Amino acid sequence: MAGFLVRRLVGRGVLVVLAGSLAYLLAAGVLDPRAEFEGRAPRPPEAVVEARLSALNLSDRVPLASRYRIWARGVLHGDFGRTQEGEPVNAELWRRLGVSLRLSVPGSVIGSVLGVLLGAYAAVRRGQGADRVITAGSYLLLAVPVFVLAALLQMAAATANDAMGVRVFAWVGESTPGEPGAFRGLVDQARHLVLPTATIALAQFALYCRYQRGLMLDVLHADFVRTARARGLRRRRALLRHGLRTALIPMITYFSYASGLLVLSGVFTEKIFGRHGLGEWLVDSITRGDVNAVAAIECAAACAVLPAGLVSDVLSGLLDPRLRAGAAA
Amino acid sequence: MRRILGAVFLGIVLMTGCSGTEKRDLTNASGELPASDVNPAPRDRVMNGGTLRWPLPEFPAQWNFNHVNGTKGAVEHVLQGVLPYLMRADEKAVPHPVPEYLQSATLKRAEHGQSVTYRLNPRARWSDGRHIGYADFVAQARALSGRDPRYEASTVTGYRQIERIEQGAGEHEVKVTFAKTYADWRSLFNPLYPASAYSSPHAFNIGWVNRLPVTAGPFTIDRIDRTAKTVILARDPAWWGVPAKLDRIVYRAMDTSAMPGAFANDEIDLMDIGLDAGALQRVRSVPGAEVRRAGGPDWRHFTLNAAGAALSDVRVRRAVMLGIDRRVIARSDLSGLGVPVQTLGNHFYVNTQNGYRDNSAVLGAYDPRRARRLLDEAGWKPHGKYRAKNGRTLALRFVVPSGVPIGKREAELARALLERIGVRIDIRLIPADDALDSYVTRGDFDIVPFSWLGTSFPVSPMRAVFARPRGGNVRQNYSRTGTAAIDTAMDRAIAEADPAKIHVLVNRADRLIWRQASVLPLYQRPQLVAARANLANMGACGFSEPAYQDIGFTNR
Repeated sequence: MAGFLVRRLVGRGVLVVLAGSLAYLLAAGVLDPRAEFEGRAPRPPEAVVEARLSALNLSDRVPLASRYRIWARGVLHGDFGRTQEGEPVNAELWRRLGVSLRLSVPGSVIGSVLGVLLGAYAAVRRGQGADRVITAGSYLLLAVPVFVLAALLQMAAATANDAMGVRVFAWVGESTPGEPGAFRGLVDQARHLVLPTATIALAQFALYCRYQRGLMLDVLHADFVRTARARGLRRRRALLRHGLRTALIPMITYFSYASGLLVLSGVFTEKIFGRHGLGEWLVDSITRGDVNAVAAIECAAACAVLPAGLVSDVLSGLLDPRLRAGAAA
Repeated sequence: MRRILGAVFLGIVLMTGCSGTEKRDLTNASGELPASDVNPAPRDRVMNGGTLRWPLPEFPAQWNFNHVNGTKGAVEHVLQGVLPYLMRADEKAVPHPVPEYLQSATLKRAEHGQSVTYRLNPRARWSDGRHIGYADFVAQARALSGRDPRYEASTVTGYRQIERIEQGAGEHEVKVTFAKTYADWRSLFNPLYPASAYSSPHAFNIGWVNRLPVTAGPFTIDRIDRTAKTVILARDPAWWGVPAKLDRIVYRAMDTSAMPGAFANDEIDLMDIGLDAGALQRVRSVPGAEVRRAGGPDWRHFTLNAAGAALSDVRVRRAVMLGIDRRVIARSDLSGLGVPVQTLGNHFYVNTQNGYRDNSAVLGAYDPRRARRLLDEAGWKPHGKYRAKNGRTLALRFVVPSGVPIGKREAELARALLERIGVRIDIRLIPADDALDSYVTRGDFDIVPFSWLGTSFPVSPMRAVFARPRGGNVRQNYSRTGTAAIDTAMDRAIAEADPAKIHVLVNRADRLIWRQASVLPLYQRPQLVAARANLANMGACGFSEPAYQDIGFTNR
């Protein structure tokens, strides 16, 4: 299996380099930072705009190829350049990555686990009351855009706060600025996490639930499940050990790649809950025409797909004996 | 077509109908917008202590306001509490010296130029112990003069005119001599930075990135958190004026879409509603909160492109202006906001500003009959539904950035109104991000709606909008026309020092611009700010700049 993983790793490394370069070339070719500077009120002097742009390696008067060379040389030394505001991209990238991970990991783990379990349960109880409720619920959630879901949750939480007379739910940012004390700070952070986690979890739950239900239905009547039952396994055990396990393999692949890109997809959740993560940064940077920031975020995303693919390979290998056998042979 | 207009009118009636349920709206609806609405309270009625939680639409990294990256509203919201502002505008945009920094500023006219003598408050000190004075003026004037290109300054207007700076009679007197007369001299040295910040291009460009090393105000910087994007100000015990009422001000950056929810849940104490009727609905029902409304400095308008085929004829431009009922458009844009509908009759001053006069009598009134006559004179004869000349139909491109619903509504109203005088409007939706760049600056439009950002000192910035284009350089004159008379009138206003005479000269220039029919002002944009009901001396400020030491909460 090791050789198989190494081959995969090298292939993906080449892909990351290609993806990063393409991301930079696309961003630098399409975005127009000069227009952003010139659109400001009052309009800055021409010389100042030019000086700023060349200092940031953003000037469209320099050929794209030489801008790319400068950028690539920086990236090889681990430096993604500076943002339009003149801040180092690297430091901001790490800060925002932390914010995004803290925001999205709990919600997506809860959402996907719940989704898989309830999806599988709904498949087993196909056509019965429980299945109908779960299916209706997940369809409803799928139909509601994330930002509407978030606003609805906020309204419900605000009503609950008013009814209780104390502010139990708070959701702007990761914590109340200047909240003193380590313990109270921790509690404060936890309560700020409730609503965004619920939003992400509900959205993820709906998706995973539908997928898992469909996959599970495919294997329910498969030969190997029947064989397992014929060998004397109880229905529950046969379904869990042989049915769910098999149905999980495609889900694992999906889950790994989805979580690799998770940090980028949280833009609506980030914006509506006042968090300053990667998704918000990407959208704002594209609007501003901030080439270096956009390229850095894309590179980070490409890099995130690398371990995600690795995790997917390892987990699939563990779950699927055929894969291991194939690699060994 | 008539049906569209009817439907739009119905929409307006319905929307104003539902906003009329609030008592405040009913009382306001007939009158005029106040110049400011900040719940003014004397200091003895304001509590000592408390924290004000204030949202910012973006998190600034550059805290040097005069750097090209620092000239932003969000930066100014913070700086006004921590840096010296020598002059502060009142709600009618009249600047007054701030006594904690400036005792007086006297202007003396010389033969060619002028000189201003600043008498500074002797107690005014920077947080590093140095007195505020001569050295700071010299450093700032040199950095912003535009002579050293290494300083990445956002604008050099005014500072470029400074010839020399001398120490005045006393230690706390500074004399600034200008090479030419300059009317807006009161806008200079606001804010004033310490000499150390402007002593070298390096200090200027990166010395204030992510930090404010020296302050001199009622508040001081307590903490800047770049992960949470928050800035915390704390009361400065070294402040020599009356102490700040608030203990702390907490600024936090958040997307405007997050603000109504945050306000409803009592996580922020005030928020700018903008012209978002949906946000207004949401915050209006919050208990213990109120919406403050005042006239803002910005104004909405239609710019006509006088370089276009049909609009190059001034008679056609005048006909278009007479054929557009400005009240209808203003009423549609402002519906549901609970503000009185008032049109704007000036290209420089807004309704609540000192010096404002309604000069719209010539072309601002809705007069379709006169519009038709003008089109007849210009040779555009009725030909079926629309007018035509030499086989060409009178059709105008109305350019609207996509995703701006207000612009689209305006375009549809204009289309319905202008159809009555036989002018066809083709609505062109263009990508919002390069609207200005690819269409407006290049002149690829006939009519475009947008807002100009106003200031207390409107003449020098608006010169770029109304001055005759020279060569290919239109600057911000997107209507691409002008006259020598308008240029002269504006230049005389800029060179005048007496405020009363400035108003006369500006209004003269304004009447000339009305007659040239290039820009059709619609209305002064209102400022809507949601605030806790007991927040005092802060809210919809209009032109006024608040004294941060007086902001606070009254006892309920």
